[in-house]
Amino acid sequence: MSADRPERARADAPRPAGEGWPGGAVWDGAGVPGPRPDAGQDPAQAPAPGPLAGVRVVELGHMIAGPFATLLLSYFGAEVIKVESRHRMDGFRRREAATNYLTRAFGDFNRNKRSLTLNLQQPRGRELLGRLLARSDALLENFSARVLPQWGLDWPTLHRRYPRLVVVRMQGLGATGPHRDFVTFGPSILALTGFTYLWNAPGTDEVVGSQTAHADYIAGVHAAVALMAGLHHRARTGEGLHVDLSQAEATAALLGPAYLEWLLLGREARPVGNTRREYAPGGCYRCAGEDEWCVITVRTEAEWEALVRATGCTEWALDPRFRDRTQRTLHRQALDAALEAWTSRRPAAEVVRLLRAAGVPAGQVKKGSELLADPHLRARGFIHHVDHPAFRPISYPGAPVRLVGHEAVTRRPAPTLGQDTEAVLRDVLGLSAEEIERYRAEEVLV
Amino acid sequence: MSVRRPETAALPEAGPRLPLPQPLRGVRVLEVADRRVAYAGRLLAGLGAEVILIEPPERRRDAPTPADLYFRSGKKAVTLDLAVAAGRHTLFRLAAYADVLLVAGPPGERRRLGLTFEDLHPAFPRLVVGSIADFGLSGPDADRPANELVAFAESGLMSISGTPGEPPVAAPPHHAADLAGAYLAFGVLVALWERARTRRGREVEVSVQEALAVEEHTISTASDEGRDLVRVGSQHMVAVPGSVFRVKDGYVHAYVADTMPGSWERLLEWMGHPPELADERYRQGLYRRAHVEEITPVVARFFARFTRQELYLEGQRRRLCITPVNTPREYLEDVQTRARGFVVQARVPGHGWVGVPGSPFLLNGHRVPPAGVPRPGEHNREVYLGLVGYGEEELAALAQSGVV
Repeated sequence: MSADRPERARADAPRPAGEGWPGGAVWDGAGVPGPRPDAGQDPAQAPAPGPLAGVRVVELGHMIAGPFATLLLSYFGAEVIKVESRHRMDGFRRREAATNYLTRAFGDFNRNKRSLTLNLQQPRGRELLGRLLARSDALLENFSARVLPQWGLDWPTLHRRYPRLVVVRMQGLGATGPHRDFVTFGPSILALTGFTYLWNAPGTDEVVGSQTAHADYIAGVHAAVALMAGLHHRARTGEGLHVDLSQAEATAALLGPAYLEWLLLGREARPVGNTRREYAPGGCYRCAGEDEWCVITVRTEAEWEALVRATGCTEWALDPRFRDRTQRTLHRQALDAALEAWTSRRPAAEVVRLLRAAGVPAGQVKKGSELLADPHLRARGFIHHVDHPAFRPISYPGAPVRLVGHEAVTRRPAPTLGQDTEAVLRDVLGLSAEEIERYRAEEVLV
Repeated sequence: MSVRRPETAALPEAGPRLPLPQPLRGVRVLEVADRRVAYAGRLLAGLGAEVILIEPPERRRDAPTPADLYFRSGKKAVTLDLAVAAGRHTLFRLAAYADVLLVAGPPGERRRLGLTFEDLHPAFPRLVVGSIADFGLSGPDADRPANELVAFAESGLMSISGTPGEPPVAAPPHHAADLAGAYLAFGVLVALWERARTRRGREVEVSVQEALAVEEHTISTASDEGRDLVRVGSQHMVAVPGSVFRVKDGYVHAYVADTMPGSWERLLEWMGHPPELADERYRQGLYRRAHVEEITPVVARFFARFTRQELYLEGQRRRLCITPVNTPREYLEDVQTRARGFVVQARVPGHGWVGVPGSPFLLNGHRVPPAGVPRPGEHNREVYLGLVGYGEEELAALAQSGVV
């Protein structure tokens, strides 16, 4: 570790808006800084090379939405410093019986990051955070709306002190409005926005929706979009950007057409389950075995003929109820029953193999173990094997977006609590061993 | 009916109002029409990029759906037939003036159209190409017959969605593809950032399958415990109570877990400490999860006495994570949705001024309003004459032969 290389002052000082910005139709990207001159020298600690090399992001995040956003950035070489505390820990650090405050879930969303523990209840802890922010490009947080202002870290103050800092706040219901302090988790956001209502089989009496935290991932990728937008904004104006992202609104943005059905046509969208207007037959069908399912979709006449050939159910071709798409749509139920009679005698993998060879779009409803062994995902390098020295080896999914030619890898397993406190204080803030010791004695670094 | 924008509420966080940021002003994006890249285009347009939507000429005949209106807003629209050589030639003429090209489809189809990164990069080394395919652009499944529903089935997320014993249930139509578009927009922003330094464009690639497979620990659980997560209806993996409850006038969702310390105790206090839930061990989330069948009915009986709004407001007052299960309309009518101006007024052809969902986040306190919604081909003259530099006669000839 490069103890003898304290961080130099930032080279890219604020510039007046527009300077170095020629405009014109094709953007020439002036104003984007090169790699940071103060990048650490130890290969284990150094920011990875990559499109975002030299970008430093401070994360005050917990659970999924915030940490997932910075995980996305880390895949492309951004340096992510997660600021935590024994007093205010990422909820995933103790979700299961944790070892070293590490859990499987924490280990997923905090790969490639460094952990700095600071007690932000103490002024000295906040002072260190401030010094870190002065040397960082962005701050992303998903605490309750009142937490940051409580620490004196409201946007006007942050912007005055660190005019180039991009600040992404991502509360469940936003940083403003009468419900800004309401508590939500991923499933609650699905419930609020209409996803839980729409994610159901048609005509059922019970609302089930999804038990998942799906909305957290939606919020996370939108926060990553907004943070990148902030960096671009800064590159051209020299100014930071304040992002107020409501996880509910980001999730709702993906239901835009459903809202417009109401706003424009006065018609309410209803759950359709696995049926899609354009497919007949189309949906999810039972296969042989315990809880085995496949989806099959037939849109064109060619696909219908291929389905008849592949299944060997030639009587369908003669059945007037299945003569064309209009008839097949009208007799959807009868057709689904006939098709399921065929699929339910075969394993899902065989159904998909036969239909795929015939040119009919079909898929197996895959479970985790099947994804883990999936030759396609393996060939694409999507499965990341992470062997954690302080935890246990686990395979995780890789990056959901790629820049071809840059491999988005897991460079480093998720950190233990405070694993990088000393390294960050020394290499990024340039503190001496004595100074670090003093902060430690004052219980600032817990 | 339209949802009126409330008086602009004070935005205490934003401080003095800064102008509307347009981080991508001057960036030109070509979007080859496909639902899978439509949301990416909308996001980039909202950030100030000039997005030119390229649709097949026959689109002019279709009546626009709400989805068309939503995804077209803020874009320019031209028509171009990419199935013929003259159309592809025009696209290449356009690409010379573009920073980003968004295109969807499996690699085989892209090769047939001559629209792979390898086709484009030598001619336009600075062009960022954003690609979405159901199974990505590489690997043995890349060219299999597929669509969004097939990709969703093979993502792992479907296997854990729905009621046990019943068929798994996919998310609403097109949702997986739209979400993939959000990842694409992120990748494009990263590639533009890199390009500013390297002066080279790159291919950004999203597989719809992978965009969903990152979620919900299906892969890591199988790897770690050798077991598969299963469908459990609305019951959350750890929270108890942590599911949908039927109440007086509909449904609510409740989430009480150790990640919110004290919430179980606060719930008991509200319920008046029912004797059935007095067991001290219930204070531990893991223990509750193992006894969900004993706990949930007691909570359900209590909740059934209230309305959705009563449970929402009183629950949140007690710092309990309870939320109503809304229809899309109910979300729009929610106090918070209105106070933050999620729905903004926009002019939509054939509808006049109506409420339309605005941008998914506020930048310096601004909700980016959706700009106008163009008709297919509305910007043909502006783009083909003004940008590509065709003459009137050339354009007329292309129109005559049905290329534009």
